[in-house]
Amino acid sequence: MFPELKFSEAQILDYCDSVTPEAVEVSLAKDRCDYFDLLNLISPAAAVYIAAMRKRSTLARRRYYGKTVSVYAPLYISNTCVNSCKYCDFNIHHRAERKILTLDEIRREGEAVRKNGIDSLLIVAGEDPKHMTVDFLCEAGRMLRKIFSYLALEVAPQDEAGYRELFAAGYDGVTCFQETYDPNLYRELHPAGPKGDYTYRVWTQQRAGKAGFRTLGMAFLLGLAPWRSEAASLAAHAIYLMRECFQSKIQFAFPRITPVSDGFQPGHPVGDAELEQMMLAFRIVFPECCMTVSTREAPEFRDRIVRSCADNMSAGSRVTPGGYAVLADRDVAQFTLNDSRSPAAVYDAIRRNGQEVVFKNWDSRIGL
Amino acid sequence: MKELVIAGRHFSNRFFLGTGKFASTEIFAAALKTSGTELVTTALTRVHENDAAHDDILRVIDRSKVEVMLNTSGARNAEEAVRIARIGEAAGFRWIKLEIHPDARYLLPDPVETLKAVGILAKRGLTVLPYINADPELAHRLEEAGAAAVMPLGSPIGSNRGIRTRDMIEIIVEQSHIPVVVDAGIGLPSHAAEAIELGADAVLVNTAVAAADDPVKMAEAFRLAVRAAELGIEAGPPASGRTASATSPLHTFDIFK
Repeated sequence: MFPELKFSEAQILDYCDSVTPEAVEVSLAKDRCDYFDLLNLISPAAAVYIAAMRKRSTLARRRYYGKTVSVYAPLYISNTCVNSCKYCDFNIHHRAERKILTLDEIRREGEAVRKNGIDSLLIVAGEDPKHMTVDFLCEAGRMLRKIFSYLALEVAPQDEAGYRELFAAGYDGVTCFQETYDPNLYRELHPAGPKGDYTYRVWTQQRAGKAGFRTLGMAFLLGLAPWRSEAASLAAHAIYLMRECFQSKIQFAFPRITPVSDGFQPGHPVGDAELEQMMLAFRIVFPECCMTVSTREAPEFRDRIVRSCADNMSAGSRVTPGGYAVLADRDVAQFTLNDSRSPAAVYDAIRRNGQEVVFKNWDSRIGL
Repeated sequence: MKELVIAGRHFSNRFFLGTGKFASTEIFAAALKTSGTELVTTALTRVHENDAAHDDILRVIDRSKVEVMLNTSGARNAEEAVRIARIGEAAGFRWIKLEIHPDARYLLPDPVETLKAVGILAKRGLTVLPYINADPELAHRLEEAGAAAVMPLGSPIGSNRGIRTRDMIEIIVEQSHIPVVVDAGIGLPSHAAEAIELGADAVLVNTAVAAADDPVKMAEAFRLAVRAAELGIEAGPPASGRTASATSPLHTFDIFK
């Protein structure tokens, strides 16, 4: 569980099992919900209230994010990695072709993404302390901020000093998935490499927030452990960060594990209905927080979820370094995608939903 | 009611509109029309300066009739707000809605940084309307620092909770020499009417219109509510309750030119 949470996994799951339909109804009727309302809404008892939750969540989403959906794209700049995460194709033991983009290639990729209208970019890289240094990432940031209005990072956790440098170079968001909040399972899934340090990873957002980052992305990887206790940890972690780093926005993601090439089988797969229930619960309890949905999910699911809870989605994603322009057809992806629509097709779907596509939501000159 | 003049510009409509959260530019344009508003606000973070194809919001505004006030949404301190204002100034914006909200969740305005930024921007000759908590002393200080109007919140941005700061807004209205625009938290036409009845010079509304099922109809509802409240004040309500008290903001305005 999230280290600062005083409840054990067993206590959380017992609580969820004891939630009554009446308790769910009370939570749904509240104007402002608390932590226990979240537990009520993710409980088995709430599963039959999905229609009421959708209605309540849609209202909350509309009030804070209006009838708009912001779009972004990930830009993978390398897939070299020193870690050995059992569920990831960037795993050091996996014999895939490895690629580290040069600054010039990063620029070409960025320009190709920008041509699709995308103005918010998420830089992604494997953990590779030799090549993916703070200096290199800063150089990439200084170059990309001239092309994009908003830059976020999803790379190996850095220390606070590193985050200060990265923030100064033009990055405004940091995303780090905890994968699992269960320290024992975490150790088992990350047997070697620096990522094995659970504690260092769990305080990543806190360090980034203290260094000035405006958006802190967080998630667990759905499928590794029972989702209700992981969601309880994620919510506690978010509440903790909202107090400690009140100047930063929280952005939730709910990435479901998708097939990887070595056949890793998730022990606790999460179904569509359960995923939707969890996302609706988070939107109802945290109406002001950002929520994103990636191309790991299928088009129908994404199009539905941006109406009821998510406010942000990726479009036309490639999860291969060089996938946009440099080496269009190579197969060195991190995981399988379920939404391979073009950016234009995603924008059309948003508009058909009666929502406006927001490309620009920030201005990289503000923090200069 | 006293005619509404901000920085020398006369306004015949006390309903101002935000440009965010609309489902499309077409719907915004239609709502803008029914609102009859003469002042809108847009965030630099949403302006595509070098990308005319995407700059839909600005394209549908007739700037000879409607003033566009650039807001500094996203700024966490005076330095960032001043930077946004200066980028806006270079792009031709002279009216700045100063919003400095370090708090990422409730977007509550920072009074210390706001006061600092108003001083800097007013000296540059910009028309600055700061978004503030409903704090009468801060309103005094901002007036001294050169604010063109003050914009106290009714309740947190986007909350649609209405005028929860009623008592403080009354004091601001009573004491202010510059226009008072109630901004944030107005969720219903009746909230807007309430703000005008409290003596506010105008209201600024965004979410309640943009996120309504029918934004065009809601824009009309707000226009009518604001106008109704204004007419009601001019009609001179018979003495009752608060409006009859000697400290009533309505009366304060009525006895001076």
